[in-house]
Amino acid sequence: MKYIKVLIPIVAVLVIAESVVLLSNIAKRAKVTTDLPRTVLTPAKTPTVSTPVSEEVDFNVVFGTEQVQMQVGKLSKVQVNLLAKKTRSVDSLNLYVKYDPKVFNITNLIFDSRLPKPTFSKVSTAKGMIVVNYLVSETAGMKINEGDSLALIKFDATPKMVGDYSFEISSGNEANESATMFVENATVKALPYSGNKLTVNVIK
Amino acid sequence: MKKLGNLIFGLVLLIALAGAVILAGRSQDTRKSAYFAGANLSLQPTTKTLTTNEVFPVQLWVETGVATGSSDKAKVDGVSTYVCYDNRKLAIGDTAGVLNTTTMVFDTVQYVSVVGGTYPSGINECLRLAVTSNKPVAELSSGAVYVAKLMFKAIGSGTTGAIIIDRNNSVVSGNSATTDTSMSIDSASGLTYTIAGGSGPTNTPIPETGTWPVLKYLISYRNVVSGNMCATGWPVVITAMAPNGTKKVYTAQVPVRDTSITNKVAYRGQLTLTDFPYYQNLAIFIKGPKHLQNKYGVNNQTAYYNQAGGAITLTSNAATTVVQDFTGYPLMPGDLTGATSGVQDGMVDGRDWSYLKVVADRRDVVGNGQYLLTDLDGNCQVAGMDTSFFILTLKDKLEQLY
Repeated sequence: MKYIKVLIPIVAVLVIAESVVLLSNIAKRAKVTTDLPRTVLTPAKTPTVSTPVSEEVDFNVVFGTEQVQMQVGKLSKVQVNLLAKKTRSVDSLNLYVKYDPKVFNITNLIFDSRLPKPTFSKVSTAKGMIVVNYLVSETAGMKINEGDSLALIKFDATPKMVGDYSFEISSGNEANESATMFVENATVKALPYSGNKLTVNVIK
Repeated sequence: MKKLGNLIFGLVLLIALAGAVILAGRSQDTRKSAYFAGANLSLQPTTKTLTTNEVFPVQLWVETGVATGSSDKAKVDGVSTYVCYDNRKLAIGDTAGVLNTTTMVFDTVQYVSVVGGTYPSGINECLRLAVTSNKPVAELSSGAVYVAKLMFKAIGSGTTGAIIIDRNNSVVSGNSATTDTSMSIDSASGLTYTIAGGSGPTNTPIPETGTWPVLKYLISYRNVVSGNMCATGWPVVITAMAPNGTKKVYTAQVPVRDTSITNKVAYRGQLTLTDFPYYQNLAIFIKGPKHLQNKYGVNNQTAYYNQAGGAITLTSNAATTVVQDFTGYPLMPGDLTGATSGVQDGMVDGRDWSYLKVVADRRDVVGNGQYLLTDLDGNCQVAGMDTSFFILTLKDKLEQLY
């Protein structure tokens, strides 16, 4: 009886430990799932441009939400925001959003009226990329104050098939194309930013 | 006795729970999002006897295993791999025919390029290749699937070697009933070869005529019009590319305005492609000092050349070699800077815009014949027109890319 009294709390602790292991594994697995593309991965040798760590960034480029459920054939709104961590003047804002064109139809690009009219915007089904380039003509650039939030782009996404997918802020390929970039006025410096990913669970 | 029984029961319970914790950790790694099938990559043939300068095909194959949760073999829609060899013994032949869409399920070459590598047995170079299929699921293939045809040329002599597949850098993807799309590469087998004759390897191709090909060319710069007095003496970089991917770069080439051509502003140049013993199926890349690099694959080209390789033929006789007229596809200005101020990075983007804007706002001016990086049209001043020219280039380039 004495042993049972000792065993019960030990068993309870072990059950809790097991739950923690299980839950953390499920979370880890879900992340890997979204990382798997539908087609060929770039080989490990290929250098990639890393996104700066969030502690050092001037801007956060974030989706309205990190996770969303969508329905096959039903249109859903997606928004990419720029959140200013520091006050900066910019001469250009180049945004590239990666997506899987086999899975999503992207339509109805909408741009924030506080931003200049985009010099170039396109949904590239060939490259699986939503491209928006803003160039600022004003000599002093466009001032973005700390704490400001701008909708860099809004668009409609219509999924074509069930599964787990993602939209991602592109930081550039091996040729450094498709690199999301915010260039500071006068210094011609690309300002550090962090970009997140939107995980989409598509159901029937 | 009862107490002992309780103690044993408790211990068994503890061991079972600890085991469950360990197993839970392991089993998660093999469930959802693990590979949905296995696959084997191989080269055919597996052995080959060659003679020096012999060009020979090597077939890349994938064999897919049974898909998880199914009795059918997995359907494949993409393969990315590195096929590696010793570049003192073998060279890559023409990569234009990697895919034959009538005999292969794959229809798109994502990329094919030659990269360096370090592997055992002196293997030091790889053909990096990725092919995909955009066909509907029903038309995808499973089991043994012909992926690509790779052309090699034996350049060594009296030697043996191997062509290997770098399994660690290979990916096979396919269609599955689950969200998993990758297949595990269970094996990757290459081929061994013997090159007959001689006493050692050599990789020095013999020039066709004992001299070098001569490139005579005409180019134009977009936005430069007659009378723009600073559009002169612009040095260009010319890169010649052979069908096997070999490249040779010639810097500081200065084409000269040809005033005998009156319907456009054209610049004429001549370059002997020293140490470049290739004459046919060439591609020529030209980059201006403030311009993006253009690829020219044919004479009289008038638009973006969106193909691998090229079809330009040159001879070593300067008197008879055909002048390659590239004026129909002018060099586009706008690549002014990269991360390092004033040093080109091969792209037009926000950095170039910011760099240009500062000067345009100042309205810098130089004298006739002088050089100003941000003067995109060579009219000796930087003004609003230059920013418009930049936007034009940016739009065109992005349209090409996307």
